[in-house]
Amino acid sequence: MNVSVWWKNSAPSMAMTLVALIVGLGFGGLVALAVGENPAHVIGILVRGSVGSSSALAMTLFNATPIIFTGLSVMWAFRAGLFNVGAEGQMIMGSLAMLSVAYATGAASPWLAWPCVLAAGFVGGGLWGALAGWVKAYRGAHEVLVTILLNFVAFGAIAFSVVTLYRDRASQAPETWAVAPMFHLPALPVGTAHGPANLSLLLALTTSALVALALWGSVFGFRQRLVGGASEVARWNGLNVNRHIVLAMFVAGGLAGWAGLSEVFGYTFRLREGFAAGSGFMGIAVALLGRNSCLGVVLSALLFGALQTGSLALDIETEGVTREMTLVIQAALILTLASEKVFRPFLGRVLRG
Amino acid sequence: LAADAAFWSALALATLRLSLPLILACFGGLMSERAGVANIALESYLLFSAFTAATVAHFTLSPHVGLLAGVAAAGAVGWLFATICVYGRGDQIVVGMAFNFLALGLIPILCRALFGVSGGTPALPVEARFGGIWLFAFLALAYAVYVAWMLRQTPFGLRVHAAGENPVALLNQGVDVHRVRVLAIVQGALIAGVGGACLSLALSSGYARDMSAGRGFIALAALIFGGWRPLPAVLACLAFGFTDAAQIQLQGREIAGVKWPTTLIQTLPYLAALTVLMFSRRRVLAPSAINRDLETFRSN
Repeated sequence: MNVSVWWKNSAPSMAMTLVALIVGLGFGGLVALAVGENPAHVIGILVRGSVGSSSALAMTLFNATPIIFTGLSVMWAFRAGLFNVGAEGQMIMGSLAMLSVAYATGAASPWLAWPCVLAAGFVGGGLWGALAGWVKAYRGAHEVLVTILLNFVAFGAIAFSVVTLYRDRASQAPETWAVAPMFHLPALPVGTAHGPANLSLLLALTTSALVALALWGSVFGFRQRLVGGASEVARWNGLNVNRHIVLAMFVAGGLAGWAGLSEVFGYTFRLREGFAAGSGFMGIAVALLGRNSCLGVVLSALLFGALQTGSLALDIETEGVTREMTLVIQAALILTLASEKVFRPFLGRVLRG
Repeated sequence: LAADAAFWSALALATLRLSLPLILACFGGLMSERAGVANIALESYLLFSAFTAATVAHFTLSPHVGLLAGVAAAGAVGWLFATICVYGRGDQIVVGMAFNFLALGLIPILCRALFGVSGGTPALPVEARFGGIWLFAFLALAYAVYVAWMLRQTPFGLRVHAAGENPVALLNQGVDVHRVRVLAIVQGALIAGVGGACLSLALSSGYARDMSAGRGFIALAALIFGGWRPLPAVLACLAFGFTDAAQIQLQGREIAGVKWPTTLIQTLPYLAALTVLMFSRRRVLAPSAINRDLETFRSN
């Protein structure tokens, strides 16, 4: 493609991303100011707490891993014209499926057991997503409402698992018993020897490359994008749009289903109360900020992983600001990107000079 | 039998108590969606108004001032939501989700700044909260009657209806569609704010983290099930309130010889809402201009 054409097409979009980042962080700073903290101090803590040491960096990579998966999940759905707010629930159901299969295949060879676990994660999350897709396609309810309600059911399912079903009676805290050592993913050589950054990060990066290949290099991906971009055209060309909606939610759910790998098989080796804790919802901001491209998702997942890690330090090191600062920045960022139609003409003028 | 009568009357009262926030939030969704703006932000209305009401009641020791503050907070949130959706022309669903995130993020920070803990307000003393739910029941009933009349009989109501069904016709009449939409959303937010205050000042003694527990979304399911009409929507809210009350009653009881785990029983209201969405084909009743901004009509 001609460079000037490429620039003309993507410059406003990149500028918009920058504007959103500035507005998001700026709003976060205003909130910090309002509760009596110095914004510069808060940002200092955020940066130091996320990339300031090798253990902080390892934590950032660890936190980025699940949101690469959920970001890809939300992005796939967006590309197919759907808004997947259910990555949180799909992540939980995928993790429960992986955990169950890991318990069942604990005595088998890893070469047999690991593929089963990964398949269970994708199918478990995928079916939870496909259920929402089915209600959307054949019953006409909005997928956002359905996936949100399914999230609440998934919260019940995970509470049931850690409190009753797989409860480790030896532990004081509500958590399941651990998976067999052969399921422990090796740590990456960052931070301490025990992670938390682990092999699942590489799996996440591989998956994002595969997703790009599937969306832009396969007939299936083309059809999914056609259904998302021009469903009438898809219909005239004989595509079964409803079936593609269900399939899209299956793939989106499956991608989210792997989001638990990092924590369950790479760090805690079990499910604990409070698992997921917003990683699914963060996928929305990640997909939007990443402009629904795989590279964009990976980059903004790293950013949000850093934000999440840094904001834990806010809990400890400041009086007024809590870890929820991530959510505030996320909200301001999404709102800016959503009202881009207001900024766009202005940005276009500025960029044209 | 006497024990049974006590059981049923307790269940009926619990149903009414738990339905009220749903009904009030549902009216918020009704006003917005009938004017053509999809509203997934009801949850944030409830959270912001519940928090503001409890906070103001804590400092003034007056539940009535708390209620007014909660309503005002929800109105402000609704106005901001309306402005970004209507004038900012943002995707209504995406903007709505962002508002929910904003509520989940901002409230714990404000809470910690005001009370030192992020989990909620301190428990309110008796004089700072409502002794019963009757004021809220009356407000819900009055608003139900008002909205049913207003949408059919008043110029504003007809304009709201037109803004949701055929905004171009309204535009051609020389009416400012954007203004109608914003006014409808703000009016809806005010009544949903009553629901939020009901949560923290009447149903419990103060604000607790995420205390709306998805009621904003269940209210939306009720709105859809009620076909976007006031009275059927209220009935649907009562049905969902009943599943919530039943869920609480069922905890720790044996059903069919099995003691079901509380964690699963608590999902009943959500399962009920999902079931309703699965078995109702009501999309045809939705306002036809919902989730579309005015420009998309002009270009057609």
